[in-house]
Amino acid sequence: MADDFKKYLATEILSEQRTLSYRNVSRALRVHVNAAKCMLYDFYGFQNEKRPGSVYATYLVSGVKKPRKTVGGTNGTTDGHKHGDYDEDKPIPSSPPPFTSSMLEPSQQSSHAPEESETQVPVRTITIVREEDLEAVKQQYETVTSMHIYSLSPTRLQDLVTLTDVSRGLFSDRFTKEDPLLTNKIYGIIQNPNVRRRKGKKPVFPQGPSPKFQPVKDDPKPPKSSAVTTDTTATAKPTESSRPSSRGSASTTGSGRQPALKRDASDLFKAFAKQGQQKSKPKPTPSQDEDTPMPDDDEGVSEDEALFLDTGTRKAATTKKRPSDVKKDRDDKAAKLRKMMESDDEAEPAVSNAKKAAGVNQEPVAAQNGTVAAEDDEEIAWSDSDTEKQQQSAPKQNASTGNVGDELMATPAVASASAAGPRRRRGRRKVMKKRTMKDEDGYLVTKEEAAWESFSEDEPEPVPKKEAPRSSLGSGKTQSNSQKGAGGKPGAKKGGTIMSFFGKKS
Amino acid sequence: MAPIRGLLRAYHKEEQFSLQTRAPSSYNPLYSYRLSRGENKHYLQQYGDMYFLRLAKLKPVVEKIAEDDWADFEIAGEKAQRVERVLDVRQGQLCWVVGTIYMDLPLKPNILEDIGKEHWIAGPPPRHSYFSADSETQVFLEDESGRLHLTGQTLKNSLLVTGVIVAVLGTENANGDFEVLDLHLPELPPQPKRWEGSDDDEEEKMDVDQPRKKVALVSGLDISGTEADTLSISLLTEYLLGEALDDDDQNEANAISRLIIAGNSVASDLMLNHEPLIEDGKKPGSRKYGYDASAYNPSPTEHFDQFLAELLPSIPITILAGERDPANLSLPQQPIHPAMFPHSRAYASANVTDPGEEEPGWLDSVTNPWDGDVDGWRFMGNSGQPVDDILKYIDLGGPDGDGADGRMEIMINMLRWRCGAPTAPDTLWSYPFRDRDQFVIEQCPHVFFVGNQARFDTHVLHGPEGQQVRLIAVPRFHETGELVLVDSETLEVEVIKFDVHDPSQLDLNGS
Repeated sequence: MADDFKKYLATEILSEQRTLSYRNVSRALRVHVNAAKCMLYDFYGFQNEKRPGSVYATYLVSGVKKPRKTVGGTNGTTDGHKHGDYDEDKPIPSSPPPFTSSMLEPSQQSSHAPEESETQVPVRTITIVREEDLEAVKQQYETVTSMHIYSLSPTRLQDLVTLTDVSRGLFSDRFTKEDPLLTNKIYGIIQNPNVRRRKGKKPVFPQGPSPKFQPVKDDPKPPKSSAVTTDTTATAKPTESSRPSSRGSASTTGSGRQPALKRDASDLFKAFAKQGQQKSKPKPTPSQDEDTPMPDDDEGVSEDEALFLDTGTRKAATTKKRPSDVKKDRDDKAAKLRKMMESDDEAEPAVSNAKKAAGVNQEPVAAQNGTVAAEDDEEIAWSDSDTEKQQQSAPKQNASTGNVGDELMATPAVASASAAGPRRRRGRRKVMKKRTMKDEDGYLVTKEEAAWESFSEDEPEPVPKKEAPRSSLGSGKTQSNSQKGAGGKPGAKKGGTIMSFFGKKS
Repeated sequence: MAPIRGLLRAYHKEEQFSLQTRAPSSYNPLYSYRLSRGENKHYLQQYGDMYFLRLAKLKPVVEKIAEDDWADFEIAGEKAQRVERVLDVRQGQLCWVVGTIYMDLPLKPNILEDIGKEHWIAGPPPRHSYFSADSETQVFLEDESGRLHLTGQTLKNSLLVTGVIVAVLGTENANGDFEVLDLHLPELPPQPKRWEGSDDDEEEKMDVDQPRKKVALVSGLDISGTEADTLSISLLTEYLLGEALDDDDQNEANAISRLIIAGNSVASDLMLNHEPLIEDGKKPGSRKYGYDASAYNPSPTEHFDQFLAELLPSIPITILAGERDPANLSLPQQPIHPAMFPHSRAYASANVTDPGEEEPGWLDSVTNPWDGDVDGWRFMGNSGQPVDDILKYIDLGGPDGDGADGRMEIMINMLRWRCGAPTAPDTLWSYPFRDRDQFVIEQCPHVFFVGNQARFDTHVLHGPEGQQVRLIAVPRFHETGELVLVDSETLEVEVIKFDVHDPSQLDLNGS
């Protein structure tokens, strides 16, 4: 390989018009750097003999420079600059003493004044120089200890700094691809037997991939399995996952489980029912399947709890949605994020939600939310508040499902059948929706628009409270429900609730 | 001058080149300046504690020195008496007292003033010097009891800054000012013997049959990522790796057993990215809270990482955080996190939280200031902030406090004050130490280096108890291209200067 170095150099420098430093050559031909330096010299002489000026060299010179005075005499103006620099450094050792002597006067005991006799600090200079300046630079040196060709290029280098890029390229091309501990020997880099590297190459990221991305990955899979099963699993996961996010609700969920069962179950049914309608009716088999897997799921979920923070909503959504919706969902998330950045009152909905969650009637809320969310999923990407609701609601649902266990599992089939049954009503209502989409410029645009959405409820409430009505609880509870249920529009809900509160009292 | 052919010769295929092996480095960093992490790091305590701690620590030392010197001090038959507290000084009485210096300078930042002028709305402009020739500098001596206004010619001749513990001898005059006749500093702390810091196999280390070793110091690499100015850094790399130059010089490079980088490896891009572009007329789409990731330019750290990664297979590196490095700003600066160095962190210690537990990393990212034993010698150094800040107090630094003069004096005095950062926490940002003032120097180093100085300077300081300290002002590499080599036997210093001979550039710059 080393033999045809001339060919290599000719190709690189003359044909490809590249600048090559000795390091490049050493790496490319896998030879010692000193050999590479010789090769460059060899080639330089060879080429310029053939055709003078065809190759341009820079040199690296090292040694001890002459004291400045002599240099100044011998050199031209350009060198003078160099020496100016050098000169400034020179007088340093002598400058401190006068000062110190005066400064340190007070403490007489020890003379700390720097000794004037301080030996001159030897300075060795390593200079990189173009070929035309080589002689001039050499003149500045008292002794030259080394001199070699640093680089060859097809034309005069306008700016020596370009050589930096050469070595940078070397790093990315070579260094990162080889194990320097092995290859450095070839290049003649000083070896260090003591070098230590970490044992384990790259530490595994402790938390694994961030939970956000998980759902995306997972999503494709669930749809494959029967719709119902996915649904259950999906709902189950969210429960756990969202718990950590909202402390208040977490504690309450535990207690809330039992009472919630009935209603939640129905909610779940609704969800299923919808699906059932939309899709071709689920085969009987899936529902059977559910029976067994469910409990397992629940356990599994609890283990995973911590991992899936966000996933809850996504899962619930995706199960009902097709992959295409997943994207929508994601966009929604982004929008939500953006909204958080934009509005300072972003905290409010969350707070209200939290309140709801923590409040007395969590279960109803959850249930309601659950329904709303489920409905929304179908045709529209969720508005921000919806998503939040869902996060809240999801846990509830799950909690309930968890407790209900097998019974619940069995129910969906029934539910789908009875979706339009006597217990519930379906209807349409007007809801302000936030829609986020990408316009042709690629911006995300969020619009609020009124939309009719269908809903189904256990017990319809009076019109003013949009979402309140669906609680299966007694009228006494409905009030509280309305508070909770209003999750969709925090502001409106709040006002309503307070009014109602006072109204009751009086 | 004999023509040197060296490597200017034709290539011979058979030629074999000897394999070079680097001198081993004996290295034992101390972790004195590490702060506890996370929960245990508190910022609620008062900074005042630091002064009390410092005074409590150094008062006995200064008292002893003063006692020895002034015990028999007499003026007109009146003996100098020792006074315990600053407030106990009686008018007309010849006495001496120990306390902390406080300097009131006309341009010194004052928090009350800043608040009064609502400077906190827009940060006050950084001041280059607190010193002003126009108005008087006032010097006070204080302790926990009170404060004395000091006057006298002696003060003018002394280099003093806030936070220094001194003993002053004099009398209180009719104005209530204390006329200082003489003054004592704590002087150099006791110095450990060479190899004292290392516990094991001293014999082996004392063994001198190895070729002489050197420790390389560099600072202020200022890798910017925006300017293409890193050719000298490439040369530095090649030199340290023993790639550049001929056998003689390569052998020299062999002897360099460790590289210490004293701060400011990365240039600050603050000025460039400071103003966000709002000219679009559009309200920025999203309000950014806190850190704006889009404004971050990773290339300086990337290039720095490359620089380290290239060197590390061959040479161990100790890197101090610096003023502009990606570390915390207040002293003591904590180590730059190895996560900044994706390539080179393979050589760093895996134990970031408690590095003392393991063998120090091959790439050792350390605090600023830092101390440790290298080849048996106690090295102590910082990245330059303490010196820069002290320079603002005195009329040495030139108009913008950036001059090269006086830095060696300050370094000498820092050791004599036994305080590595006297102006912290007054004008130098610092962690509020509560249990002990970490900046008090308890053991005199053998090598005291300060990074990022205007120019190279060195000096040997001899202490009253036979201490001998090599002081080194490490220049900014970016501006001077200078690498400092310290011989690890004699502590002699030499300089390697990397020079890009580019006359055209020089002409352009008009330098």
